[in-house]
Amino acid sequence: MRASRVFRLLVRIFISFLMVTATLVSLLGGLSAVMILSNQDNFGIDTDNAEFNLEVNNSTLAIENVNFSLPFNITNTGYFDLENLQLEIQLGLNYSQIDGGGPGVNETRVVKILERTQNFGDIPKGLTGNFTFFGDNNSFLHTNFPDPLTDIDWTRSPALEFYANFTISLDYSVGMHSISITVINIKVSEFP
Amino acid sequence: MGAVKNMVKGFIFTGIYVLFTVVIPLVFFTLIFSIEGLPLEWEQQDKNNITFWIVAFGLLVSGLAFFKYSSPKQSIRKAVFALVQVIVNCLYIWSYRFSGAAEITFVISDFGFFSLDVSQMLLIYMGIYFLTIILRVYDVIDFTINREKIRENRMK
Amino acid sequence: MDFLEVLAEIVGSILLFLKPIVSPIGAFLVDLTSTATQFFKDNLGSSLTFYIVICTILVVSAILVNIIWPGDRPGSIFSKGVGKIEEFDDKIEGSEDEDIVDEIKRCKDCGNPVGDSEICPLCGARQI
Repeated sequence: MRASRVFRLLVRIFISFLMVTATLVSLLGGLSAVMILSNQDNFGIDTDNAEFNLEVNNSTLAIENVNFSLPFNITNTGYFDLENLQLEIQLGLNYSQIDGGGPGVNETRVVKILERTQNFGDIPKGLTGNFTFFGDNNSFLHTNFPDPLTDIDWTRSPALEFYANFTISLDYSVGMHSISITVINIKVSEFP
Repeated sequence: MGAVKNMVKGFIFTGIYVLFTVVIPLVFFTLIFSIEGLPLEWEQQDKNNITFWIVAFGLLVSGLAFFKYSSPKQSIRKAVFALVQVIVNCLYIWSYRFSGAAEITFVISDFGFFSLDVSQMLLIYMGIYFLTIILRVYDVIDFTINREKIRENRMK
Repeated sequence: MDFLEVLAEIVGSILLFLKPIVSPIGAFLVDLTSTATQFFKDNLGSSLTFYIVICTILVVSAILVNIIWPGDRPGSIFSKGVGKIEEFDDKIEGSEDEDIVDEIKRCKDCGNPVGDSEICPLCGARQI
């Protein structure tokens, strides 16, 4: 066999080896992603301990400070590390708008008051990551808040309800797969 | 008899390529779209897009496969068409991505949705595939430089 | 430890090592391929006719090329040339023998090889 053919054979073997490696990582990653996602216990969003703090000026009833925190955890039962974990939360405020449907007719409205993405790094395989999502006053969309004096029907019970859409996104299988899970319309809090 | 044998080989491999690049993906996507209640967020336009490009590039790959596999062993034309086939194969693989097949979204009713993006995986495969292209270029050069010796061996 | 876990560890490490080398190459090829596929999408994305025609041309031309130049013998359209080549080969072989024969100096009387000598060592004839 010519020397050039021997060299070619070696390169082919190397390429085949790379292909097999990439395929194995992909398959094992897919398999363990299914293992993680198929067990709901691996994802915990602790809405019971979610805190929505509102500081209102007693005389003007203007919102002076607002923050939101939500604990959650993810257990990585797969074969690879969960990388670049991100949580995006969109918080919506549900309230009854005075005269929203015309004079004397109140109308239920939902306005977006928070949209924030927070990075939480990596979760090594076999471990559980416990995190707290925190949205401070600057993260909130204050222009979307209804006027507490003129807009909100405080006779409704509860007057204010907070709903959230969560999007957890992460990389898996040595970055070969990007996974995103979105949970919509979860009630996190109410006031009063 | 050499020409007949080569052409039979060409037809066999073309059949295999048509099966794996056109028929199987078409059947797979048709089945996926026909199953009712499957929580996949794909529309009819996506399905048309995916199936069009699979068939289009699959046909090109299969035609090139015929030329390649019906050519004599270690011939320059075989090497040239093998190189072109590998390049068209790249277009075939990438058409899965730009047809939307690399980003799959599953809808979970009353809960939300789950999406899986394998673009990075395709990137790694494309990187490995580039090495195959380099190897094919090497073949063209090798078969051109050593053509007299190769022909001599083939015609013995 | 689970076999799959061990396997995942090994292949994950290999890919982690190779990823910084392979990914940039892949990104480069992706750029080229994206441009090419976009060209196909913009200009040849309406009908399968073009692709069917190209496939047919490839198959038909492969059949024709392999009939004319099968590779295991010189091409059929050069069949006259084959005879000429064989004749020429014979002539070359013959002339090589003659040249070799001519090169050795022989005695004009007895035909014995004398080389550079002026007198034949066998019959003693003078070589002038």
